[in-house]
Amino acid sequence: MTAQKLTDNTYTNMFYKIKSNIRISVVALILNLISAPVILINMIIYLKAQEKYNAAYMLYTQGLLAENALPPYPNSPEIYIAVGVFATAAAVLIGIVIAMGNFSYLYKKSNVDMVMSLPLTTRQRFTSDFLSGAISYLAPFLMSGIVSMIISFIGSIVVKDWSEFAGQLNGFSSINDLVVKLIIGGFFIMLMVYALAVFTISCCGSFFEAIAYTLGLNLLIPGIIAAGGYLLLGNLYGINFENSIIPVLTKTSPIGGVIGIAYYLLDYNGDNNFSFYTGWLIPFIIVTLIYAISSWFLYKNRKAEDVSKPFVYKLFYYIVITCITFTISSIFIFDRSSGNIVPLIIFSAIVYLILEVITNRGFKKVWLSAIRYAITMICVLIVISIMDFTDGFGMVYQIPKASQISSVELDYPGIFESYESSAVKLKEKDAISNVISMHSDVLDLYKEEKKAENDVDTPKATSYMNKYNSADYRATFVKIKYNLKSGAQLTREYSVNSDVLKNLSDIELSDEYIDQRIQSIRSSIFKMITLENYSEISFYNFSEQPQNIDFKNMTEVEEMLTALSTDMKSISPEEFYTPSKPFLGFMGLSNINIPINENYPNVIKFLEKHDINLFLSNKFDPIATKIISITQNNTDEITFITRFNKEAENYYTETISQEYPEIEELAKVVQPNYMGKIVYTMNINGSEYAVPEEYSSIAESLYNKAKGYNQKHTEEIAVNSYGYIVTEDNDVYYFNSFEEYNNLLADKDISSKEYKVVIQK
Amino acid sequence: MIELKGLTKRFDDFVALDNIDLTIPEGTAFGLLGSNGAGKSTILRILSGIYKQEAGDAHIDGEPIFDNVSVKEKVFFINDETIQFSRFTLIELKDFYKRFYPKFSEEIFEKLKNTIKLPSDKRIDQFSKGMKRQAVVIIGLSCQTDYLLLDEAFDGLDPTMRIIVKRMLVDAMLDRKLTTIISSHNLKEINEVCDTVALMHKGKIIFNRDLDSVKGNIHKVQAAFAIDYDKDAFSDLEVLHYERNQSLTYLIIKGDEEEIKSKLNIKKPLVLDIIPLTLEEIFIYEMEGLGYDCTEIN
Repeated sequence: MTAQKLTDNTYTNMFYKIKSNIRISVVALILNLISAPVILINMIIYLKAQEKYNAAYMLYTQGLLAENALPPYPNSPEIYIAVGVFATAAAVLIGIVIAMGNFSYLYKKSNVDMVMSLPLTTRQRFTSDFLSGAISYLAPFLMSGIVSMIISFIGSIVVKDWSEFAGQLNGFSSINDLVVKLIIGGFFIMLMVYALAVFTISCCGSFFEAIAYTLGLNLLIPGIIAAGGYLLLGNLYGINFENSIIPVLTKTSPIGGVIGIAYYLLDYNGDNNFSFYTGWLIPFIIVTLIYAISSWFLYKNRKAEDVSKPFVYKLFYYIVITCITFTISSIFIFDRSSGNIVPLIIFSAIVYLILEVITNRGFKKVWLSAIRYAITMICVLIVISIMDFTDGFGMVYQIPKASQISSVELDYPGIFESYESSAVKLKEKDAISNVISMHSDVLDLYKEEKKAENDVDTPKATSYMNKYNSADYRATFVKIKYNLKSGAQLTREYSVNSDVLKNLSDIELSDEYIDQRIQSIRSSIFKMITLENYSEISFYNFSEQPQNIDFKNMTEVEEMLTALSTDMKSISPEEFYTPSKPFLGFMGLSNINIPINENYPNVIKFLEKHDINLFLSNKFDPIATKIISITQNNTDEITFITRFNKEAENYYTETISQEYPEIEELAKVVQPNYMGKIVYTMNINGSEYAVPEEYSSIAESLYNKAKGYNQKHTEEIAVNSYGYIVTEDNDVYYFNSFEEYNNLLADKDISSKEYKVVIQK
Repeated sequence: MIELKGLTKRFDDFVALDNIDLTIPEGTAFGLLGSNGAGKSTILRILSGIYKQEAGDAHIDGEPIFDNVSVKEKVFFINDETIQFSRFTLIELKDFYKRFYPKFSEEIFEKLKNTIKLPSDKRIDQFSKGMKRQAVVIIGLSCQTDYLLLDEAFDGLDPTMRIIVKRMLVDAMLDRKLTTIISSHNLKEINEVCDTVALMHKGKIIFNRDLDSVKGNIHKVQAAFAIDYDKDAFSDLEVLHYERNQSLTYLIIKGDEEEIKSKLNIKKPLVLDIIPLTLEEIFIYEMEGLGYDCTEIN
């Protein structure tokens, strides 16, 4: 009987290969079933046992259950998680084993004739070998994924806290959502493992190189990106390693993919804009396809006789070895110290020559290897030097044009640090111009400082981060993300000083900005109400205990937010930056701290409606209002109260340890938010308040009195040189010198309390 | 028909085949002879579609071979490796190849299997070297391809098995005009099976003729002369080898037998015998003429 010809030999070869991979697929299936499904089952058992224990414990605390009747506290399922992780890792590595098996004729000479003489075209052979391997590798994972989904669904029914458990993983409302994303992510990570293995095997012609570089590349790709990127880009001003490198790292290798998923899980809190699908998965799939398609082109151009050469494509080897040299160089010259050049050359030469000896299978033409090393090293050092000299090939100075920008996201706490850092997205042309203007100022400052710098041995990161914010060490951290019309993004981070920050002053009064800040507050309160069934807002100033308003639902919250929004949009720039109305107190949530005065009539109405007594603030309580110090600014600079730098030159601070009549006068007129010529500030209960210019004479009087007292006191200390300070809590602190005395008074734990100084003669 | 025109194959800097022209008609039993590294296996691998030539054409039945499924279905290559089939049992090997070769015959397979009595369910890596070879030959013949390429295929076979395999080949050649190309160093078998031979050396074909004309073109002469003639005395003849032992002179001469006789008779030999050469002797003396010999080893 003559065999019937099948219509396409591709499928023939594919099915044959799948059949011959059956055993290893079964192993993969077992490993996959030991991983996620077993972890989930044990999580269900653990949470169920915990529920039972908690219920019993509740009864016990109410006296309804004896202690010896309590069930045992459930053991944590960590051991199963550990086993699951190992099983997952082993299952992932099977992809490499399958790739090595399906493409064995690329590195094993004895298999070449049999495979290559079959009636298959090159395309048919590659397609069938690639697909059959992928199916053998991934089908077990998918089966395990389906089982995991079923178990997760069962968990959501039988475990009361299943959703809460998911919520602990940063905001997932459904664990099924988490499981689905992990399955999808895991699938493509494994596919990349396989594609990368085929890519590497296509470049290699011998077993050792095929297996070593397949395994090695999985570590090398993320390692080179992370180390090289961090060591080189991490030194560049304004460029954050995380923002620049993580997007590349998480999409270009399987290990990077795992980091990407973890990054997504850890960062995702409902407020984050990072999208699992568009932000990570789709680019990851594209890179995987690039590996697969590249494998095809490499495979297609290979010759059967290339088997047994270490590398069929020597270029691949040289790229890898150059990247390794580059990374080693980055490590050694991270701190840009010239003393590291000799150890760098020795170490990198050893690594390079070892790889050459292995690849050349001996010491033949080692002199050629030495020449190649020298050329590689020179090129690497030139590239690194140019990168340094040009600040990352001009990356540091990159500011997109306004016409290229669709929106800009600013992550900073506001000029007066009224908000915890959260991003606002600005689309208005004026706002974008202001941000660009600020960015330009930052870089101008950087260029000036760079020219002036002559301290070549100081590590760049330290000097630039600290130094290029001028004489103002109380800098504000600002993160700028430009969203370009092309779809690309550019992110920079700086610690900026007051002069630079002033560029944003117009933005803070724009409707676009205010609406987003209000929305941020709304989200924060909503989250609290959702998770904890209540939220509260506090009202306090330096002379009172906080008064709280409890919110049980969003209706009252909306009322408050509408009032706040209306007032913020109505306030004039003058009153916003140099308020003349008396400070009544702070309205605070977990993430905001807005000072309220009579410029906020709607907010005041709302507070009064909720029985918040604002006028108590006008009653001065000398005990509660602890004036700690007064600072005189002898410069003419315009600054922000929140960036007021008491440590700088020309700022003179005197501690206040006596009662003076000026204190009460000033306490009623100081402002927590102020941008202008600040001649005096007062530290009240640990926070700095500006004295408006028109009250400078009162502040001067207080300052002189405090100075006089302190000088006299200081002379006594200087003469007698030892004594002790006793606080209102009866804590005793000894000093034996004027310096120790000053250090003690600089300690807030002491200076924020009532204290007495005793000089011992 | 197999046609090679201007075929050149290089491995890096080494020229394995240098501008080869060769035509093998359908139904020929073709023997490829040559020194080690002459290019015999390279030709077979090009004809199997394993290697691709750098220059020239390699056609089977008018179609190029490389990456051509319809041509490759007509060719079965049996090489000198036996390791590659180790994972299979004989039945699995049969099932594997059956999928790819449309003319595969179960009947022939069963017949050959029963004749040679190989175990069906034992893995081939548990076979002896000869049994592995037998298994592959059975599969090759069962695929019923038009062209069968054998590279040192008789190695490892016992004398009885060699006879059986040779008979199978001959039967197939007679039944369906199978074209066989055999590369072997066992010239006795080439002599028994092939009707056409080509001799290769350093990537070139030295000659390509039917076996009878090869043998008829080179002769061993044993003569005795009244005068001791040295080699130069025979410069009018194409002498491949000259040897004198006391009164006897041994010559290997290429050319027509009658012509050789008439030229030697001029020298009035006392004794003149022309002895036919075996293929092995032809090979050795031809190679000696090309400088490939063992005279340097002392």
